Amino acid sequence: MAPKKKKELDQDERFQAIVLTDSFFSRFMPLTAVTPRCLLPLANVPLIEYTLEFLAKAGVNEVYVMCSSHADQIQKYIDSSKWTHSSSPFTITTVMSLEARSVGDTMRDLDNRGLITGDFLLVSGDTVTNIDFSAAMAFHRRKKQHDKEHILTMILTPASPYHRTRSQIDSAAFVLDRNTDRCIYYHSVPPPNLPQTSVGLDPDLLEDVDELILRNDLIDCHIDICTPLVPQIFQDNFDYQLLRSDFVKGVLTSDLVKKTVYAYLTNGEEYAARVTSFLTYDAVAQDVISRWCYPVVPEVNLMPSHSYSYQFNHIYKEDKVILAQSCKIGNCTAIGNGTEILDGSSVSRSTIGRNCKIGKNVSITDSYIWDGVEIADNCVIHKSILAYNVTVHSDAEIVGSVVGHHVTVGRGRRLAVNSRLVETPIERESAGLDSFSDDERDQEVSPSVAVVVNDIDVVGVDGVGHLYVSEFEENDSEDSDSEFENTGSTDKMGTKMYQSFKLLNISDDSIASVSNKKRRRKTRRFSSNSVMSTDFERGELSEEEEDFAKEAVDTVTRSIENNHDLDTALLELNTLRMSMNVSYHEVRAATVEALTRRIGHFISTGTLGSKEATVKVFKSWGPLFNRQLFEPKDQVDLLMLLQSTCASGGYGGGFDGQVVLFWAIRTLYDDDIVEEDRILQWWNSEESAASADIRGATVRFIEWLQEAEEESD
Amino acid sequence: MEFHAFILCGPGKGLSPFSQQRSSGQPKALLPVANRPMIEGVLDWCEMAFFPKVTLIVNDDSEHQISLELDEYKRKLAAANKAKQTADESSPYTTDFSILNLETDFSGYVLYHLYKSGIHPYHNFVVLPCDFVTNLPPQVFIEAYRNKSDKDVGLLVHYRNTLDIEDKKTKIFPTNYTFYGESKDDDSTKLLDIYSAEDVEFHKTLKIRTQMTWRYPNTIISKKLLNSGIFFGSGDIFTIFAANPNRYTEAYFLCRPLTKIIRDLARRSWRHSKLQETIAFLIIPDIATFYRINNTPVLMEANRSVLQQQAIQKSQSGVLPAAREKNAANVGIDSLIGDNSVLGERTNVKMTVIGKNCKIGKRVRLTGSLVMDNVVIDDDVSLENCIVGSDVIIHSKSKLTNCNVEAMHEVVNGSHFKGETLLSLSLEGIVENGMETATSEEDSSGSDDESDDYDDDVEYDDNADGLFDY
Repeated sequence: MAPKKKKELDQDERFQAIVLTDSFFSRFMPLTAVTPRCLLPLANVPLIEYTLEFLAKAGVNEVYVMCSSHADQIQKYIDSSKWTHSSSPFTITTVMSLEARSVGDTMRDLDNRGLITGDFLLVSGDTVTNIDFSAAMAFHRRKKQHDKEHILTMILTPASPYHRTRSQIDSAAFVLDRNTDRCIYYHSVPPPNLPQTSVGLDPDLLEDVDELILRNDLIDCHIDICTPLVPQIFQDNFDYQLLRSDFVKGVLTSDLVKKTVYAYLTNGEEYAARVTSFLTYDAVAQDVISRWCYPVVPEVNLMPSHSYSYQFNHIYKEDKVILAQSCKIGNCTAIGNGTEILDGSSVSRSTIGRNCKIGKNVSITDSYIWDGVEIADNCVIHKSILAYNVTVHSDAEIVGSVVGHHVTVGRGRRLAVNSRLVETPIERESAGLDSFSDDERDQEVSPSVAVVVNDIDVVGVDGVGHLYVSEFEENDSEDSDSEFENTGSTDKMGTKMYQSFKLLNISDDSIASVSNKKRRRKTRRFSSNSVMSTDFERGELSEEEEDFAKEAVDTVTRSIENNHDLDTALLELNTLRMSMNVSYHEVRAATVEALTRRIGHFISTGTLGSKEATVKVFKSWGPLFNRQLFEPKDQVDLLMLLQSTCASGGYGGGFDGQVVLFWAIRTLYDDDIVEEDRILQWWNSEESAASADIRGATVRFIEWLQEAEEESD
Repeated sequence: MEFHAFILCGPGKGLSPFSQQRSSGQPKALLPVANRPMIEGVLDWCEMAFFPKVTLIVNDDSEHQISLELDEYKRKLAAANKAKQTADESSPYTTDFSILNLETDFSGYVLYHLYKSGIHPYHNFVVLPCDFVTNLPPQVFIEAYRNKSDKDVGLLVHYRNTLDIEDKKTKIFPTNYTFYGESKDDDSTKLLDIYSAEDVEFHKTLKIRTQMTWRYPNTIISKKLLNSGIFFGSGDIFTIFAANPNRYTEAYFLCRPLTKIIRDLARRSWRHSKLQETIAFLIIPDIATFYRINNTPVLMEANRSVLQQQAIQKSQSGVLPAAREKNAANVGIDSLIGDNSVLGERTNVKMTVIGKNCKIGKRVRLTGSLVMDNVVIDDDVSLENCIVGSDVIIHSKSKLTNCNVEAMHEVVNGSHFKGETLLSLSLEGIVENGMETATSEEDSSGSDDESDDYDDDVEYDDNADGLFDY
């Protein structure tokens, strides 16, 4: 491929990075209704700054920021940021990808624009990391030399499976080749608190691998080194929506693409996390403040205007902070410029933005207070997020809640745990797609989000704000309450935070799972070859098998009724089998089912007797099995299926399972579809012997077979 | 820590036609490695381990022969001990050897027997196959078992094949998907699950349970590990059995090989909401030699490796072969000739083991072969890479390459065979699946016609101890 070579030459000159600012999830609602996710402040710094800092260190020359939701805000932010200065290590360009409805769309848009010239770095705009990128790049180059088909290196960080920065909603298992780190398979795993399922691995994928390693303890921050082929593959497979469960899984399991994906595991000391939910927001913010991500710490002052300095006990303060003498500042706290904290108040394990006014005797613990917040006297803020310019009147208590921009909480109010407040009701139906595309999923499921206008009940007479409720959240609230009580008692600092924010997290995963479920039913838009990343239903696999069983039975029945030729029927069945990805066992089961039904039909309508019907159907359609039986044990399997189908009965009056079974086997035997050895093997199997009564009519036949065999020997 | 050792003397499915799969065969445990029954190697190993009690598990067919062999072994042992004792005054340590007849097709039943009869007075037991060969001292295994965590109720040992045998279609070494991982509590390796390749092939999928990925987030799945059949267990296993009497019934044990039961225990460890007792897992290091003689290519290789060591020893010790007469048979230092065997003139023996009471004619060439007892080979026969069962007669000018010749067989004049298994004609060939019939010791002549399909059948379920038979 000549053009590809040219691109590889270019690669040394420029190194491009693509920043995805939109995750197309609604997990930060209602905050993301106003502010895009990548501009949410984490330790008082917009998230995207962490990502751009990483890119600067990684030696990127060109950065393209892909914007879809709140694109105007992002563009405005980038244009005024330090990265546009002449001293910036890279050129930065915002790309308006307003029509994108998924990461897949963004990638296709990228391909259409032809921006990519070589291998590039793909990150999302909510990544906080200090990994040594050069090692990852070296790994990528090395693998590329050995493996021409290598298109993607995923950078993954080992951690414990229950690590707090590891999003359990998106938890996934990677199957890697132990020797080469090649990724063999990717599959999402249900969170530990939900019913567990199993993941089926196609043995064909494992053919040339001796030792696999199965890991469910990797933090996947979606930091990928891609070759230019990646956007093209997205282009070719227009149904790919998600980077991992569609693209990676699709590439790995596809018979056509034949490309490889490698996983680079960082050494355990490096930090990488993505802010994907309230839970991870909390975890990552605490990590940054507790200096786990060194050198990415607040006093580095990623924002040019910031002036944080570090003090003992992980306390960070800007220059002009006014603290009353009697206020207490506990550990792991950051306080922004112009903020005033009055007498008797205490703050610990929290961040407070700029120009906040904290009254007297206020207690703030484990909370995130953004810029311009005013909190009056005697308030208690615990495990909550207070967005820009929130006002809290005196004696209010906010625990485990998210308070949206410009909301005012009235005097003496106590917010219910896990409430989310917004300033103005969010009009889902009328809202333009553009303004809310971060919540695009919800729109598909509309009207899944209902806004209840009960502001006075919640925020009080002197308050401004509305409760933001999504219907599934309501259903869930009882569970989450009890969970809170059970788990909230833990007293260790890290786990306490974790448990409390887990509340918010629960509603997150309910959003994900419910909306997925609904979407599945509504449209097959996401019906690429993968299962949705957050599909937790236990019956999920069998659902597909059921679908197959039904459709396959219909196919065979149709063929019989319309008297198609065998080849057509086989072709249809095979297509169905491959599209649904089921085993031949299911195909056989469906065929047996269809044939038995046909026999039942003949008998119940009185057209033919049991014997005649069976012989007729199996004579003409039994040869279908010729292409469904490959190994001796398949024949045994078929016989067993026949037996159980006949035993189940229920095919109308006069259907005699014993007779049908006997004549079916007899016909199959006469036509050399099953061999006598297999019949005997089936007969002697325990499974078959278990339901002996159905075998009545077949006994003589078996005896005859055995005799015939002895004679012939 | 004292163990009651159990040695399973199985039928030797993979060693047909030399094992008792065929009426002419010997018990697997008695097949020769360098003219010693293979069980002696295992018994020696048990001696090294100082197991106070060793029980050989046999079945009706093999009981008589094995008990004879055991008596013989005890006699030799006593003699050796006596000799040692005179030199060294330390008190002799005696192992109590016994034989137990358990008529069962599946090794799992042994566990049931232990469960019911108890292993008193010892708290630990070890189950060994009768066919393993290793240079790794038993103390290594015992030490690994002693270091197990409190949660472990047993230790299963696996190994990687280090023998250089071409294994087309993975028939010699069956593929299993062995799952193992490190426990986060105590950094020790645990067995998590085992699937056989046939099972995966049948379902066209390798199932990975997500529950396991949460318990053991860093799991290794190996296709190259082989089951050593060695299992160290503690009496706690029986407590588990006793606690679930509905699950662990006699029928459960009757139709399962031992490994499957251990696999079930391993699965049990992570599939419950609370972590349950685990099975520790040991992989024999690659530098050690370990293999199991459970099929004919390995039997061949086992004999050869003994010969190789013998050759190295002899050449190092500098013992030159005694000057021989001009026409006398030439026996390489890498060969072994049993007692009372006679070799004719100009016969050349290389890399070959010849059993007792054999008559080898003139100008015979034996290369890389294994010839068992009482074999008669006429003049001008050439054997290369062949295993010849006992009491076989090979008539002159025959040329066999890569062949297995069943005991009692008679190879006619001038036969030429390559890669065949020559079976004696007997009644059992008629019966499905080689089920044992009345022992027909009929010698047959001119049975050169192959019963191929029979052979196929044997290979079909050719996985060691029938581990994963369905």
